[in-house]
Amino acid sequence: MKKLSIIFAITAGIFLIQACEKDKPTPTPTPTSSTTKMHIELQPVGESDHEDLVLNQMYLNANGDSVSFSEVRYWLSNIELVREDGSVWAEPNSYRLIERSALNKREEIMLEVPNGNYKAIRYSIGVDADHNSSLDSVKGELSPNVGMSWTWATGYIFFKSEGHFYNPNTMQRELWQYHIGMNANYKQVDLAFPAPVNLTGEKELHMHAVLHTLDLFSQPNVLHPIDNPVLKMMPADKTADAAENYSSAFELHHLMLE
Amino acid sequence: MRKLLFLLSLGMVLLACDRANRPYPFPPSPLGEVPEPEHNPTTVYGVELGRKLFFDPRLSSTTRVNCVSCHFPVRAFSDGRKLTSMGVSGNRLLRHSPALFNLAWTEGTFWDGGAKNLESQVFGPITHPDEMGMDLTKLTERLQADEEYRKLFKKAWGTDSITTVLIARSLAQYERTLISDKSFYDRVKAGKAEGNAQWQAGYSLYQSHCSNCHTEGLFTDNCYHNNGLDTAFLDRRFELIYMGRYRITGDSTDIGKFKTPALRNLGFTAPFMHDGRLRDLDAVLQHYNEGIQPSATLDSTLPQGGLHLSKEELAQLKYFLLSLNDSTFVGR
Repeated sequence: MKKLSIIFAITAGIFLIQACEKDKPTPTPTPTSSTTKMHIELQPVGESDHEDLVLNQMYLNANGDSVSFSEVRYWLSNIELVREDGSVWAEPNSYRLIERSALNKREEIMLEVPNGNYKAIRYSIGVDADHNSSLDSVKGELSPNVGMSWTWATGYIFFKSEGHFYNPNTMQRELWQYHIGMNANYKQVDLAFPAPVNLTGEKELHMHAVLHTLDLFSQPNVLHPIDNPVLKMMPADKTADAAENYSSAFELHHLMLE
Repeated sequence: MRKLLFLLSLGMVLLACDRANRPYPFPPSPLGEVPEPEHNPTTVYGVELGRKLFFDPRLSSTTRVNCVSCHFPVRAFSDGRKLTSMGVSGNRLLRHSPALFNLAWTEGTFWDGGAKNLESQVFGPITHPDEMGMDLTKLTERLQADEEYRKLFKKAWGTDSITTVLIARSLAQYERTLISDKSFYDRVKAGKAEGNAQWQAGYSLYQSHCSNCHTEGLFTDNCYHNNGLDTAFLDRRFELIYMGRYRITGDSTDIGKFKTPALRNLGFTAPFMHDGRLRDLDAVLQHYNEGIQPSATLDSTLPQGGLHLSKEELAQLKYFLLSLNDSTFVGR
């Protein structure tokens, strides 16, 4: 009987430990010198590389349309760094919301990169198909709370921008809204470094890239807000055009180790 | 000493049992094993929390609308209205509140299947300005401030830090437990009852004329069909809500197609169709018998003009269909 009680106590103890195990906080890995901090700034610009986008200011785009932006928001995901030998480091849980709006500005991010020699960066605009089929993901910053998902047609809004355009017919400023998503429009951006960068953990890497916001309407596909002021899920050909435009509108401006 | 040790260990076990969550014991069902997503297995405390959320009007902006406002348990979680205006705005919704049962086997929710799973679906009604109109950040703040919810989340999820994702997963878990499989039909299938001649005749009629879309078992094929309600679907308003599945796929062959509703519990779930236009089961039978409208995407298995069954056959079919009522499920 005593033996039985002891076995029972041990079993109970294990059971109890197991029961409580999930309450323990998972330890956060402390950065070591085997990694380098990389700061990425993705700056939306207006007419030139140096000119920060001014919200609600009218710009003349390459199609001759007058447009303004009241917000630019997108999911930046699956950041990868390409080593000189072509191998790739992929950041885990790499989902971030980048935004410029009247309420929020978030264009600078930081990641811990394993040391090595890198020649390029890749990232995606939007959410990959694996994570775009459900709104209850807890990866990275993915959240149903931030107005970057559709509830009536499950999926994330990959890229959301809105503003006004001048309609010469009505002689009024009217609203345009591009809310682009759906798996077909998930796009990867590939930016080659001007020269390979050796990360040793001693200095931090600063990368500055710009997003040519006006290219949304013209590079390479011509989109006139007057023809389709609202692009949401449809028409599919126009949303695909917009996705191609914004994903090719990123330009690496400079890299700096300091 | 021995006794003490025994009592101590018993106490530890009880403590552990009370704290530890465990898988929800789904009773065996003729519908098969209950499918659950890998990332959200159904648990006892998850379901308990989900049930509380389902009945809690604090999920709405006005704290007056809960899920039950449009999904009454006694009506198999439908609401008996054509198009409800019970939401926070008082505006009439554009589609009919569906009945809720056997959702674990559903492959897409809403009448056009726009929501890909239950976890994603719940955000629709909670945030829709004409339904619960709730801001998701406010919702988590509201529940976080409630000690009882903090306890329930801790029990179900091991954390009292409340998030919308955990709210959604809990509600989805509760919804998966809404299983309706105890109708007269199920008893016949289990060999526990025998259908009379009228039932048998109705069953055959169902098999020849309805089972293509309302597949036996769940009594839905979980697919989308144009069942001939209208001759055209040209109204593009409200982000194409009147155009059916086309709204989701953008495929013109999906214009006018809506999700096949299950035929179980028809006795509790009138009115019928995605817009609630058919007031009762007789109206539905009449539609299929002589009211089918031709259009480009009309389902190929539906005869143009209707089934043309006799009065007697219609009565037999209706008799069979009503044997799919599950009075246990609605608590009657």
